[in-house]
Amino acid sequence: MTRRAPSSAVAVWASRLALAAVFAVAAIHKTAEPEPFARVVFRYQILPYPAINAAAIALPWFELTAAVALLLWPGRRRSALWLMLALLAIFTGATAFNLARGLSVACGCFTSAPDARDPAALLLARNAAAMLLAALALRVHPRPPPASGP
Amino acid sequence: METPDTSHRRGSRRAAAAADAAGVGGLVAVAIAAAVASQAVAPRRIPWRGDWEHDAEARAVKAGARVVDLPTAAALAGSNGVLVLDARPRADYEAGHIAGARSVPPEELAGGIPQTLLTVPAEQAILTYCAGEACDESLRLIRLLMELRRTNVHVYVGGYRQWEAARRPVRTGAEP
Repeated sequence: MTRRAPSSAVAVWASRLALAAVFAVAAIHKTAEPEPFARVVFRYQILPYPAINAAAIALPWFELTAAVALLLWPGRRRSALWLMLALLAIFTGATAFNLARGLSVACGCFTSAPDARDPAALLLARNAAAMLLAALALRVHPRPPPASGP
Repeated sequence: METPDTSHRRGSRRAAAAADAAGVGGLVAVAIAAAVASQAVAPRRIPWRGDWEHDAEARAVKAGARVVDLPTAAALAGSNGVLVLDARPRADYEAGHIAGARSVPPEELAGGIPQTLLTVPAEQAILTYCAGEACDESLRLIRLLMELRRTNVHVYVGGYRQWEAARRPVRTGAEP
């Protein structure tokens, strides 16, 4: 069994804590205030009407599940990191799509207020940093051992 | 030629990728179950399917207008090149309107295309509003403007109610 240097272990835990905190904080206001968050989702003008509320209800639970699994469910840490990467890719894609078509909307990241304003370039940079952190954490996190043959 | 060692490594990678995918699937299932459970107990829950077809903002977007919030509406109303149109009934306009707004009441729309709109240049930036989120008058005005090919239209969905509550500049009487 390999042992990580203490500094490396601290870095791994710090990255987990940072990612989990970001996702948990992002999720909590959405679960508490689903109605304004649904309007945020609507204003992205990407999803069809029947999917808007369902996305607004489910999305924060994806974030919260990923955050909790990353910290408290060792057997699902890689899965949590993959899920975070997938969510960040979706958020980044949606932001970039709206930036490209000149649509300025609230991101809904850390507040459900539909009229909040975050510069899209800042959002993209923040998402890129979080994706990099998740990718690095995924790289240092061991894959599950392959199933042994007969 | 592929050696047994290479083949074994590739097989291991595939197995690990499958394990990752299964793990993500498990978390997705947990998240969906949590969302469903939250709908049973959350005090501020919303229906899984919202009535967006009848939402004032959604209908305005569908009609081709750009929806703006209070700060953006204030910036537009304060700039010289923007024509602000109050779509509420005339009596409401005279009781109080956004400073500088012209009245295009529904009673005037019922009689045909108002002269105010016919003289508006095609590229003119327009800001419309009515009483608030539940009113229909600005939507009717937007549709008419689109028919007239005046497509640079913004709608302030918060409307006069929100504007007044935010203590933004208002005027009373028949003049803008």
